[in-house]
Amino acid sequence: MSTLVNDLNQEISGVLQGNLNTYLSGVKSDLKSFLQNNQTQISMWAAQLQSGVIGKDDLNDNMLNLADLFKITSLTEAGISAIQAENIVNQILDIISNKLVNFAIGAIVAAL
Amino acid sequence: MNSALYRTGLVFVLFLSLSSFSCRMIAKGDSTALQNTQNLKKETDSVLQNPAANTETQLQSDLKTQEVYVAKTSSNDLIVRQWQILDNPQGHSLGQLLAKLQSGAAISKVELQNRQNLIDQEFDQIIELEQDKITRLTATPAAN
Repeated sequence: MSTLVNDLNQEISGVLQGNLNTYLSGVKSDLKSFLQNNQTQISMWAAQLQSGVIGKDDLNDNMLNLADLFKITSLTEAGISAIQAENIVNQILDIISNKLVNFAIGAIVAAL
Repeated sequence: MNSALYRTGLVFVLFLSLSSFSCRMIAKGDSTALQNTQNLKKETDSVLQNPAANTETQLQSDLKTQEVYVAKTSSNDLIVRQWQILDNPQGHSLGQLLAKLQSGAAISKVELQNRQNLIDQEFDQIIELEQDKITRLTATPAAN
């Protein structure tokens, strides 16, 4: 039984070391880079307002919609990180499941 | 007696292993939700390019159906929240824009194009998350 526990420890540590760094780096959500990515769009709205193509209310709606886009983008990033974490948990469950099934089958065979 | 206990223990271990396998099945991606999202993005583009009362109402209904579907089926509540933001008539995204069009407010073609660009990006984000769920959680686990 202690060999089984040691094996599980080793294999789970391997999975965590392989995935943890990627997971942590994926968690960050950056408003600054979001705004930089949308700078062209914001400048275009400013020019449209200046030339009278859109009104102040339109610009206000656009900025509020942009804020909603940021929320949705952040949720995607958080979701992808959660999926990565779930994937790690699934890998660990696989290891435990396989080890326990092998152990149980071995014990049944030995008992027969 | 010991042997009976031992066998009961083994059955319990097997049960636990099978249970853990069942749990991971729940988390897999949903290709229907992904397909619906891609179709709704196309429908939205079409409605915003040629706004008309009947197509706007149909889109509102289709969005609500998808929001309910995702809330019922998704194990990832972040996607549910994304749909709530997108579809909220009191919010600042597609739901609000459709409510504004339905109220008869005048919105210029240029402004509709501006909003369509933003809303397309929102759909793309939801699609990315749905696709990631399918790719990562449906893939065969690495060999141990």
